[in-house]
Amino acid sequence: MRIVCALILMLMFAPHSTVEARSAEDMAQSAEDILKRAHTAYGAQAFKNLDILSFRAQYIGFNAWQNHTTQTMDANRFDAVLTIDFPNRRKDFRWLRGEKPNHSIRHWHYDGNMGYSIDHVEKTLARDASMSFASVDRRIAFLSDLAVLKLVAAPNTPVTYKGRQEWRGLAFDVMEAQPAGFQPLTLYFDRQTSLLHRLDLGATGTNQRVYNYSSHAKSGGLTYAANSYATRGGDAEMISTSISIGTGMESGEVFSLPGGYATAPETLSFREMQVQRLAEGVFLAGQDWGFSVFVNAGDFYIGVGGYHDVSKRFEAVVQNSGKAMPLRYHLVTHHHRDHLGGMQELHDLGTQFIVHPDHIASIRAQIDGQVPDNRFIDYQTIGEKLNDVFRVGYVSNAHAEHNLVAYVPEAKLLFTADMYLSRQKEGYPAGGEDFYKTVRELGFDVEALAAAHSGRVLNFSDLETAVSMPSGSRGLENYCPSDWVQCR
Amino acid sequence: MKKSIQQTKAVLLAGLCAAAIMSSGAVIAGPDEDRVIDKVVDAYGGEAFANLRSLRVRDTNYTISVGQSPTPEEVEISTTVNEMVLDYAGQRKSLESWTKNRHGVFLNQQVFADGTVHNIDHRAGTIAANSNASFDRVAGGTVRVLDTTVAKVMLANREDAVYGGEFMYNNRPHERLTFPMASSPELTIAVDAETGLISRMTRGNPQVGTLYYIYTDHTVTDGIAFAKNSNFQIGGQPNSMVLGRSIEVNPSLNGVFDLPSDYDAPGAQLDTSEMTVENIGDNIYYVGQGNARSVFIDAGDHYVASGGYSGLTARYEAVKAAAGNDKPLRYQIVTHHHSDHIGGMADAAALGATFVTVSAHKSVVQGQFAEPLPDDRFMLIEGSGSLAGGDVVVRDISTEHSSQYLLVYLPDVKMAFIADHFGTSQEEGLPAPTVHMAGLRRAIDDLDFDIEAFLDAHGARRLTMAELRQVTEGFTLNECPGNRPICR
Repeated sequence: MRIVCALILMLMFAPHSTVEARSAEDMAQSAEDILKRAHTAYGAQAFKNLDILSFRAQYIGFNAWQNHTTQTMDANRFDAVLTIDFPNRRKDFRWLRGEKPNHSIRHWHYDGNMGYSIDHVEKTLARDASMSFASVDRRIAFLSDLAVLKLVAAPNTPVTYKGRQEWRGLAFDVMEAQPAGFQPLTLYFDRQTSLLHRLDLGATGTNQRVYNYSSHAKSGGLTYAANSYATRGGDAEMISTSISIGTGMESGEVFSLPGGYATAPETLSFREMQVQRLAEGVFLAGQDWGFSVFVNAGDFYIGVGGYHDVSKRFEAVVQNSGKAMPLRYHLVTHHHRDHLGGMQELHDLGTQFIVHPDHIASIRAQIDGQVPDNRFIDYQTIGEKLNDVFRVGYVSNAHAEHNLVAYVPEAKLLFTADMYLSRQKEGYPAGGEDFYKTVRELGFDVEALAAAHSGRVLNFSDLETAVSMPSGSRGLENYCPSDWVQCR
Repeated sequence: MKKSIQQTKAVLLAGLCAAAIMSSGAVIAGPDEDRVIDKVVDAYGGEAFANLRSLRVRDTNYTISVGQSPTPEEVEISTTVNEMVLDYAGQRKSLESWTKNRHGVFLNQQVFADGTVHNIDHRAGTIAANSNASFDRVAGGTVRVLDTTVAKVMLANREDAVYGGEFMYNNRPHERLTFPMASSPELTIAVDAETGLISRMTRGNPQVGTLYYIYTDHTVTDGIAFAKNSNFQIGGQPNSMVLGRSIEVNPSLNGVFDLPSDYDAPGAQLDTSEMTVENIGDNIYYVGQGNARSVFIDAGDHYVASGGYSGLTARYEAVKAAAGNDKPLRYQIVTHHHSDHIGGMADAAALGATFVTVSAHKSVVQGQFAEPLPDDRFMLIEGSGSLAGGDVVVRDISTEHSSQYLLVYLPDVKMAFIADHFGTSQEEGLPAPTVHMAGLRRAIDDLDFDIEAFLDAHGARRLTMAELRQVTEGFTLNECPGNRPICR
């Protein structure tokens, strides 16, 4: 019967939501025509002449991945000003995070060849070769339909017509474009207005990012969406509260690096997997932004640091040590989703999770299928199971309501996922008074500090020195540069 | 800045006076309760707060609906302006709400005075009175999203307040206090131990668990403190966010509680309290209770159903009883992916049904089951299909409501089963036009179906195609119904 029904379910009419069958020539022609119409809709000559766009987006950002607690989602105000020099592929990104006066600032700059992180408090410039024209603005450019269309309009950008699709009851032309340095972009142009209403970055599942544009307005002969929002994995990620545009605003100053700033210490990249033996049976392993500590507990290992690829880090440690033993326990530091990226791998390794009870649901959500209760161990009950080679401490702080830290007596090492780290070749993070107090309260005899995001192990004396220094510029932690439009 | 300091001083002075006044009064709650309540009163304006005669609050909100968006990978965002006026002295209240979303524009008001609440629909021009109301019950949801009005509820219920101890919230010491609110589960507030301001309120909900109200960025206007930003979260997801908020202390109340004199009473509602089964034609059953309705088609040796609200099994049993047979439910047509319309999918799965849906909605349906169903339990529609030997025709249409929506057409009776687009349970009259009605008409006009009437998943009354044309003829979106000040 099912087969019969399937046969009956033949298309009775032309499907409205699938790509129409067209010749390659027709589709190329369509792509060109659609882009031409879009350019006209976005300002014709004004769009063509647009070399430098200054885009300001005030928005609410939801941090589903890194909330303070597991019960609620952090919702914060942001005010971003992004200036893009399209012909020269330069960007300047000034980001005010939080509501004044309880805000912080970030300033990133890409000059066409090199990225810079500009610290206006410390008055330093840090060169960052990993930064690019595409990555410097943390995807804020995608909140601007006008910016997206200018990126797609760059010479030699491959563009293909994907067909006609209905969305929200209206007909759209769907295009795929890949501006240089970017991932493929799927664009939805309203067939009637030729305006861009939707951008899909192509990933799937929890990483699927979709941008929506509405309330199109005009300014200086240019058309732009006065409202936009972004979703990630179906959840709200950014919702604009105000969007404005300008052309070439302060471009001379914007694209000049601040004078008199010192060069920040060189950074480490950790491009290759590395394993450091910190003491007998104690290893720090990692690559890029994910690091873990593994401890030989006799006939098994204990780990901490749950970024994705934890199984690769464990394998590297096993090879380095020459001792193949199971990873019996793994301490889950906190519930932030990036630190749960390796939970499926750990589950597949048969590892038991040492956890704060409030985090079990978050861990389960990262693992396919059912995870029995006995795979979770409350950190307060772990005791002698760790053979006294691995101790667990509890910290509640501004980063997360519940954090678990690992202390390895053999190396006098404290592993905290995010609390205190440096990716600079030299020096150490300024401040750290709260962390210093935390370490003291934990009562461990700490000499070394490791974290989930760096292969560099800091000395406790570095922290002591940092907190003993005069506060100096650290008193400006809510500093807002007077020449920033967000600060006026 | 000077003004701010003066205001702060005034608030503190007034607070000291209020504390003195209250400490001389009868103490019924315990010392901790009184201490915390007095601290909150101090923080919110002291005597000015305690003696507040009236308050006008104007909020602009984003409401974010998860599971109600046009596609599963998006969210639905509505903008609402709420203007609430509380006359504490006269025990009167008015809440006017202007909402813009993809359904259209809505403008409703509740006015409570003299023991009666008047529900006004300014768009439809109707007014209805309900004497079963009280000052505390009206506009409770809006009262709860403002910390200042929550503090007033606390003060009104101080005798029943219960101290819940100290705890850390957002890395700051807080104290917990629980007190009742009329027509609501009790409220628990987190009071900043240093400032006395309310940082968070929680209340239980039997269906979805704990509801969170988060108050931030406190400021002072005319001696009264309030949070400039607040957000309301359900199940860890943001539901509404305040974009802008202003308050007016002891405002003029002239005209605020006046009722329109030229509005009609809304039509009487059909009694839908009992399960009813209507036999339409030889083999078609329209069944439902309340606002949940389905259609079942007897296909010979099995049933085909559509209409997925929870309670599907009860509707299926009612149909079988009315038909006098015991045939299996073989196909469940999923109209669209919205969370309320898939509430009965677990019932359908238990009954052994195969789900007729579109590929984009399959994972949402799968999410209703403890374990994923095998692929052969899904029949994916591409454009159009038919079941029951052609007695049931399914067509994938696109509307503002759902970018892919399965319209169920029953050619033998020239009827369509629809959900959320066009329906009513009023005995007489037609619903006011919406974007969805216009979109449905546009989509149907493109089909070659001879639809004469609609069976709705919600409304019990059968509406006709002629009525859809009548309602939507010349439809344009009225941005500001009645030219009311709130939207002018």
